[in-house]
Amino acid sequence: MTEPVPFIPTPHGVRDMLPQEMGELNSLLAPVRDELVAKRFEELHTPALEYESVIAMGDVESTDPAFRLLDDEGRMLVLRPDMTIPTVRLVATRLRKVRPPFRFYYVSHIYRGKPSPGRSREFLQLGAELIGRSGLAATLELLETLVAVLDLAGLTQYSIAIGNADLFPRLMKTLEIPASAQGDLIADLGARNFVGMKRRFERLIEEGAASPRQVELLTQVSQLRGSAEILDRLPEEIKDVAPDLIRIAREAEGSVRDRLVFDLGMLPTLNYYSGEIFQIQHPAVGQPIGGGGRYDQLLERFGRPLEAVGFGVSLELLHTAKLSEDGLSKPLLEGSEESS
Amino acid sequence: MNNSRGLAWETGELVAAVPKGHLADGALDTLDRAGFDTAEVRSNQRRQFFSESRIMTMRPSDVVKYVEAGVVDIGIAGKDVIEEYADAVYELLDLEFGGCRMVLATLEGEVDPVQDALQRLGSARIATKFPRTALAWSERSAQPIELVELKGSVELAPVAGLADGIIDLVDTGKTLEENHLVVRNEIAPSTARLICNQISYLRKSEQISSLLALLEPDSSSNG
Repeated sequence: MTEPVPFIPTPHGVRDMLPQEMGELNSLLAPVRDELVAKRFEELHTPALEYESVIAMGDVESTDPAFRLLDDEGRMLVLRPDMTIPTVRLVATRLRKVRPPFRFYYVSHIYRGKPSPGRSREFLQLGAELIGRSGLAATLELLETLVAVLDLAGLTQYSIAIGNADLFPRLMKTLEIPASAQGDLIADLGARNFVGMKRRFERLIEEGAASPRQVELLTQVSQLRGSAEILDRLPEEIKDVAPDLIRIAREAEGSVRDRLVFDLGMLPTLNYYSGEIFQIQHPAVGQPIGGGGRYDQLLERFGRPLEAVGFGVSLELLHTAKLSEDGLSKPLLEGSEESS
Repeated sequence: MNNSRGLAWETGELVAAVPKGHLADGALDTLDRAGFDTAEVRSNQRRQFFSESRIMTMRPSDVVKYVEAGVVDIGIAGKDVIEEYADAVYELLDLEFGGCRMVLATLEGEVDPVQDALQRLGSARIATKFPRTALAWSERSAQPIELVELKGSVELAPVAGLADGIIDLVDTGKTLEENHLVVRNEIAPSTARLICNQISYLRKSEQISSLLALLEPDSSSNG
């Protein structure tokens, strides 16, 4: 038996990062930073602590802060659960005299999630925000930036799932699904509980609140996913349900188009998203390694209405994906120490 | 990397997790209909990983964990297990077998010990293997409980005086009867569900659509 390591704990949900990991992360990051700068994105730092009320101007429920504390005057603080909201705060306040568009990037820790044994609540995030450039051009520019970032980080097998946060809610309104049922259907679709959705649809038909054809259309759209061709398979009645996605499929440059997977049933994980939303997926990781989308209404809540779009990538999951592609497993803590 | 994560990642075909225990036969029948070869799995109880048939067998509650992590693409799990253990799996289809009920049961008799405890002590002690389900029921029904989390058969707890009642899964109700327990509340019915990983849902969407078409021939419109 080796001698036991003295137990001096770190708080639950956070961990140390040793030189080998930092070295590997930095070598992933170096070309990425250069590329972001070449694309005129400037690095931003915001404080680790924010007033909870400021985060709440964006969305405090779905950003899910992991740590709260009180300041010396009894005001509620959070360790930032999100970098988009602090960036928006800056653009709407100190930078209010500066003319848009703004292009910012950051490499920052965010703190998210409920306590759970052995589960991390501190995440190192690489993100970029494009604020004040309007229309689809902004989404396309950000997607090009994202693809360049992932390519330069050395990933080859990723894809970008893209949907629209407003698509399904708007379709329910168009098809006149009773307002009382819409919330539950969105909750089910958000969790992709298709069994639950089907039950609710059957009940709506029984009650005469929806026709079998309406339910068929909603079911079909909620499950429609795949390459750009699926957009041609939309039923005639709802052909124009996703005009922006059709334009993206048409206008995106090749490097972006090759990575896109369209998912018409996608709903946002953060409440401030509207319009196009996306998730970055890698087959060696069982969950999205990042995501993003448009947040065209968020800046208005801070008093400076501007269209905006951004992405965030978990550097730790990006690293995991990269190691899987390289055919290496993550070195164990003991192993890396013995070899150094 | 020659491990299981490699399999779901490397193959373009679906890799499935199958629960041992009372759902095992129904789950393997389902996979048969979906075109998997389950002969080897049925003939060998000891092995857990059948790479040639793309099937892994495991404890029911582990199925959701393997699916969530994406080391398998799809799995078969009871709704009860999904509610208790899953954070992010997609529920594709009700397979309509393995029906059972999550219930609150207590010792038989005119007085319901849980209601009695709630009125006289403010909360009831509930023994269970399903803490998340029990707490969710407690919140939903506004009945404060003190949780006694057990790993074994919980039927002993009320008999022995460890708890006022139990929240547990009931199939025929025979075990309850033998321990002089009666159902006081039906919490939720449960059946086996087909679940899938969120990345596999898109990456292997065509395989999943064909699978659903085989398992649910009446819904031709899907994907």
